[in-house]
Amino acid sequence: MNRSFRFLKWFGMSCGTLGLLILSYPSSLLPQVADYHGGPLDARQHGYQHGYQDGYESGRPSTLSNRDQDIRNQRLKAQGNGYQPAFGSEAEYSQGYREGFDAGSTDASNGVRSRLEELFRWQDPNFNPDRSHSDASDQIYRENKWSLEHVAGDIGYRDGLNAGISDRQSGRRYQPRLRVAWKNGVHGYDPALGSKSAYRTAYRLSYETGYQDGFGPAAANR
Amino acid sequence: MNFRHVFGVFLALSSLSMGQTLVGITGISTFNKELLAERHAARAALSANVIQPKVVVFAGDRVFPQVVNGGGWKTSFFLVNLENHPVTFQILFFTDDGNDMFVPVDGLGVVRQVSVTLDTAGSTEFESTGFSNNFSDTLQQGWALLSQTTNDTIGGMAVFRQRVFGRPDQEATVPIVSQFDSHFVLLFDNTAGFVTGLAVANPTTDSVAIPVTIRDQSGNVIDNQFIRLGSYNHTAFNLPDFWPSTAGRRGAIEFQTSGFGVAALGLRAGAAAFTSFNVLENINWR
Repeated sequence: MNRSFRFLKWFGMSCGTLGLLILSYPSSLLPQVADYHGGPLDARQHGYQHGYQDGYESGRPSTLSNRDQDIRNQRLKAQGNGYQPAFGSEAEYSQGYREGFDAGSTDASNGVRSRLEELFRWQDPNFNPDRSHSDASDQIYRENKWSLEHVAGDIGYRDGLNAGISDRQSGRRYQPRLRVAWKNGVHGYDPALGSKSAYRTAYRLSYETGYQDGFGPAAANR
Repeated sequence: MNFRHVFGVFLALSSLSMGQTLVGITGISTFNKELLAERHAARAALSANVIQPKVVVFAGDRVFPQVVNGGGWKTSFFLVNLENHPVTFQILFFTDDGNDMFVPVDGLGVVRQVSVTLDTAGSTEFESTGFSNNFSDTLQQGWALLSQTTNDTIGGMAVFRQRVFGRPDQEATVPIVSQFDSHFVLLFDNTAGFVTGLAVANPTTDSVAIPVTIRDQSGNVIDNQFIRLGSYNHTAFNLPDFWPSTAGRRGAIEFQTSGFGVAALGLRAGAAAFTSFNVLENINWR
């Protein structure tokens, strides 16, 4: 009995110490948590999601003229896979990007949306950037020295995609610019990232792309 | 109607649109590049005893300089993925004036582009119908572009085929070529019943101006011409129709573009057959 008590006491103290250690650890080194609204920090997963996003756009049936389509393709080609040293291993990011691109273009060509939604939907179904644009957890990107454009792009795309899914499922019209999050354009913004105006511009651009992907095929005719 | 006549018709038809299309030229061919690569490889081997790999397809090879359909003609496309992962790309069809060209394709209907996804080492083929219920059986002509968002290497070719009742089909290949150098040469032979044509596409967002110098077989300049080709424009024409100085002669025509990136292909027709050939680069005439 006495031995059991000592064990429980030791166990409790150990857990407490471990908890304190975790809490005092730099947040950028914490294991990835689900509610980062710009996506994962892991280089390969991050590359995969960007590759998937670009591949999905590449494979999506287009209403652009052939000329404009080629110009768009050349622009995407020129921008490459978007790697920045702050993302971590370039090899892992590039491999993830390649895999994601193939998956995204194949899904778009086949009209498959399940993986798109699985990758970019919020883990917390109650989260709504129209109501809240202050997320302490998203400071993780600044701490990892990601660029303003990249943070705004990643968060804006997810916000837009989730809004598009929501509007489609609710039978609402295609209306990305009526969303509060789009109007504010500052979800995930941290002054340390740089200009709020530049952030808003990048956020809105990606928000509309995400909204279009989330809303689905009918969006092409809007 | 014999082949020569039909070929002349399709070349002549292209010339009818010259008023708004304008002419141009440029290019380098995979074959020429192969020779160039071999030459570089041989030099490297001599200096370092290292055998360089042969390069026959470049990531920049993306222009089909000539596509025809209808009027007894059809075009087939053959494509292969040379990468070690799946690839996705589009084949975009353009009219001479750079607009979308709607082409009836077997199994796909009337389309202005074809999206292709190929697994590693995968290949595919598709072809225009030659006619369709939606089109009168008149000749349509333009060009095609292999457009992609990556630098993946895709190999392939197009084949245009003429079918005339009572005669075997005639075919000629159209290699995929690059938008390349500003300086290239086209050999021509407009003697003994042969006629040389030219197909040119400008797959860039800029117009190009091209001074043209025509030389006889002795290298003497016999004429100077000027060509302008708008963005995403194309033309194909019979040389003697536009440049009478080439009629009844053989020689070489030098093109030097003002900008970067047109793609060209030579077309040669005789009494009973036709073929295509690449333009030449790596010229040291100046």
